[in-house]
Amino acid sequence: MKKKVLIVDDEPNIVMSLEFLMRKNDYEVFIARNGSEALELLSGKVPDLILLDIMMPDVDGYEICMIVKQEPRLKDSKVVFLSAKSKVSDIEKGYELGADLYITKPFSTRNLLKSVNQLLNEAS
Amino acid sequence: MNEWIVILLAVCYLLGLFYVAFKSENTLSRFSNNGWVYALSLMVYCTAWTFYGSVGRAATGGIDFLAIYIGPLMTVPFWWLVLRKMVRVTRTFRISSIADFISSRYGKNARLGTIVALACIVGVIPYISLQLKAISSSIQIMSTGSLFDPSWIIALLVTGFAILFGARNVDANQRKPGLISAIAVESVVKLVAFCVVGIVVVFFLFSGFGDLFSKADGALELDRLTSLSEEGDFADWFFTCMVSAFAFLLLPRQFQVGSVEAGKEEHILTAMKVVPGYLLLINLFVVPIALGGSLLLPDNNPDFLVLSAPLEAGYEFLAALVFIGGFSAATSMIMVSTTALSTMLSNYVFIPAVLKSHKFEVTERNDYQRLLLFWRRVSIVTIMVLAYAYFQFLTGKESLISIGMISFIAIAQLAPAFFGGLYWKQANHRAATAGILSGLAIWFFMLVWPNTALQIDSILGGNSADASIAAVNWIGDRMEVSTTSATIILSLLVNVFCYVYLSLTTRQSAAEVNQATLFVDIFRYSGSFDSSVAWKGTARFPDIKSLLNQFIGRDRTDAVLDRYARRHGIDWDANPRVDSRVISYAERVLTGIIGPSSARIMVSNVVEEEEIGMGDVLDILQESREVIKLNKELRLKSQQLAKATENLKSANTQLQHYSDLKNEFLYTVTHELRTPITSIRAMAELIEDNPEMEQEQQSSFVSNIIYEAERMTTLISNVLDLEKFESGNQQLERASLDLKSLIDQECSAAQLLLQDKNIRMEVSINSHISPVFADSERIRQVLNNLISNAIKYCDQTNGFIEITAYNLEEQVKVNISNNGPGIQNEDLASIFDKFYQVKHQTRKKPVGHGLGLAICKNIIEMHKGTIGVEMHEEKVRFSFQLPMYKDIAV
Repeated sequence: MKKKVLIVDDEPNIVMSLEFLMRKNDYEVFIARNGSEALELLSGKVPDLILLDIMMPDVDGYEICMIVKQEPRLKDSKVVFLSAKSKVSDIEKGYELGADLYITKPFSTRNLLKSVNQLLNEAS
Repeated sequence: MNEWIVILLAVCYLLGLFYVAFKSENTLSRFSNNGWVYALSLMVYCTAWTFYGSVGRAATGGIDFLAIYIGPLMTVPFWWLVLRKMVRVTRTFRISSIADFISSRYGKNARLGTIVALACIVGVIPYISLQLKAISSSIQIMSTGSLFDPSWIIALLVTGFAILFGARNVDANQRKPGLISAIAVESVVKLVAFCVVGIVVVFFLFSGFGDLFSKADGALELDRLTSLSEEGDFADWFFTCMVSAFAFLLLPRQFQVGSVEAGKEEHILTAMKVVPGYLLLINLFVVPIALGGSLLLPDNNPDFLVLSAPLEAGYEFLAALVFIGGFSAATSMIMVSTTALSTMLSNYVFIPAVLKSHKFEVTERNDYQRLLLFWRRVSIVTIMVLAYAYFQFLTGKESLISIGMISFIAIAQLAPAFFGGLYWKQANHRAATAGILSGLAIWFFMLVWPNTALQIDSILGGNSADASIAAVNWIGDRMEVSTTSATIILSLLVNVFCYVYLSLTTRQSAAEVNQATLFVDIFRYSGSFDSSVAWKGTARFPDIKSLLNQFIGRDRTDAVLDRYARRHGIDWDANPRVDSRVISYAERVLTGIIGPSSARIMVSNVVEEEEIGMGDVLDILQESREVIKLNKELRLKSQQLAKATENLKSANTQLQHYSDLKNEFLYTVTHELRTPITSIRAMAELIEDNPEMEQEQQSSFVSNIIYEAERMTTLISNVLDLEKFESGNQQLERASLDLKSLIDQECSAAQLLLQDKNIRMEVSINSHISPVFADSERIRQVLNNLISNAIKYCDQTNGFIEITAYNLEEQVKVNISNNGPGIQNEDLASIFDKFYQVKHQTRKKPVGHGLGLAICKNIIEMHKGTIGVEMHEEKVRFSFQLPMYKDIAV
């Protein structure tokens, strides 16, 4: 069974890249272009992985992370932040909210894939 | 009565006094330090002149003798002000005579002090001889006309007493309890004796006052004796009162007991009650005794009625009492006067000469203490010898009271300088010297010379006195007063005139200014007197110590220095140099020994700097004025500094703020750069990692890479633009600009994009729109930015953009609105800030990233225009205004 990944980002080109990358690696991909879309999707789906941007027009990534981590239904969903916010405080905040990984932009797709796979294999 | 018995009586009485004096020397503060003793010692004022002379005067001249007591009585209410001030000054400056007082007040002027001392000696020696004469006469009367005159024995004893108790201590300022106690006892003795004889005369020789007066009424011209009849008498009365008032405070013996020997200032209050009572009692029986005596012994010497009356009546014991009373009045006066005069004589005549002849050296060998005491004693003997000589050779037939008056008038010459100096700061030593000398000259030629000339004439023969007597009489007649009154008026008028005139026209020396201030404001300064600086520079402590050693001995030196050290918390061993305060203190200690002017000279020997001169004082004043000025400037400067600090602080805050903004800006720029780079890198990697990628997908990635690269370029050029605008490096090339055509160009450039997104655009520009004065490229940038924002944020499905432009007052206004989702009110204000949307926020704002609006704002503001955004009819409306071209041209 294919692993499910939810990509949350408002930058079309990043979404496009991630979508291609994850599909190519046998993930079932869901896409949210902003926070509220993401929450909507999450109410129905239980993704194995959430690739989460922080800076978005409506609901920001931290909030989504918090909600995910508080939702028992989503307890197995791994949250990976992909953010341009690179301050130590931003990263710490991400981990405090329960993120499994925090990757700063710009990132390498190769390393991202490696880290994500590792994360999901550990879990299973 | 046998003359030897009389002498024995006198000697016994004197021995009694010795006993009292010795006793109270040894029990210092208990007996003598008492208001009553002080008051009684003041009654040394009542001499043999009072005891015998008043009766004599009353018998011949009526009650005008009272003037001598009424004068002092009138001063009593002012004692608390005047006498207390004198006492305070005397204590503070360690003054030991009236010569010290005046010299000290006028800048410690030695010459002035000498003049005062000599004036006192010349003025008072006849007065002392008068007492000797009284003693001598009373002994002769007592011993029923013996030719042998034993008064030299008495003089010798009194001299011994004065030496023992008046010059007991080297410190003339130190109180003399033995002397003062003896004087107080004598005051009681003479009062009791006089009252007893009065009572005996009135109630035993006659049967009461009524009997006495009715008998006298018949026999004598009573009216003449009990009233002031002639016109001139009123003047005499008045001037006698005045001169007596001065004398009471300024006569050397009065100054001695009243000021130098004063204990507590509160004793003055006691004296103010006791003295009037004493004077009343001692005068109560003057007229009755005079009347009774005149009735009983019409031919006797009226001056000695008080003694001859009881003798005549056979009351030998009473006569002895009277004799002792008169004797005590005379001896007390002699003892105090010689003490006072000898201090002046030694301090102003002998000691300066001695100190001048001994080249003063700071060594331990010299013992000036003995020398000083020796000369003080020599002075006493000198005074007594002079008085005795005067008594033997110059005393003629003039009455007791007239000699007394001559003395009073001489002393009155000191009054202007004395009281003026106490209350008038401007008075100076030239004025004081001139006043005293002129007054004394008049006194001498009008009062002393005629009598002296008469004496000389009587001894040598001739008539040298006639001319002067005639002249004096002529003056008196002219002024319609007695020669005495004429002398008082003339001498004091000239004296006061010289004093006031010279004080107003000549300057004080610096030392004088200092002393004048301290004297006049003594009550303000006496507390903090030690801090008044009259010396500049320093001295070596061993020098000061050995200087004091030589004058007051090792023990007292140690004592006074210890006291000073304790009071001021000084450790003498810590610093061998002492400052001006210690020097001033040493000077004051020495002042008590050798007088102010000699003390000054002595101290100047060990001080290493000159004493302060006028120039120095001016320098100091100038300096302090400059210091005040500097202080003012300093205060101003520090205010300015505080202000500058404040400015700097706010500038710093501002800078910090800018620095924060700059950091924020940098962070934001890099943040903004990360997004396109992320896409570029991701896509490039995907293309590389997936060579099998479909052509379509690959070209989509590539064109997106190009798009993101462009995005980066735009961002970077915007950053550079903004930097240019903000640093002021951007130059505007302004010219007349037609906004209509510019807007039209921009709209047609956007046409394709609009069609793509299905956005409707309406442009309505007033045809009369004025040209603006602007840089066309920069305004194009603004329009481009605002239009692309409008396209980007207008409603995505049913977009509508409206552009209007029109003249508004002196400007042209352009509005660009779109029907997008709108902007929250709270965001409207800051939307033009750079990277507004990302600041501290995790949510993107609906308005695009950017520096776009920030750049627009900069451009419009550089054109002196305004730019803003508002919600207008549910549309987001950006608008800007630019000044019309013609305005600028004008």
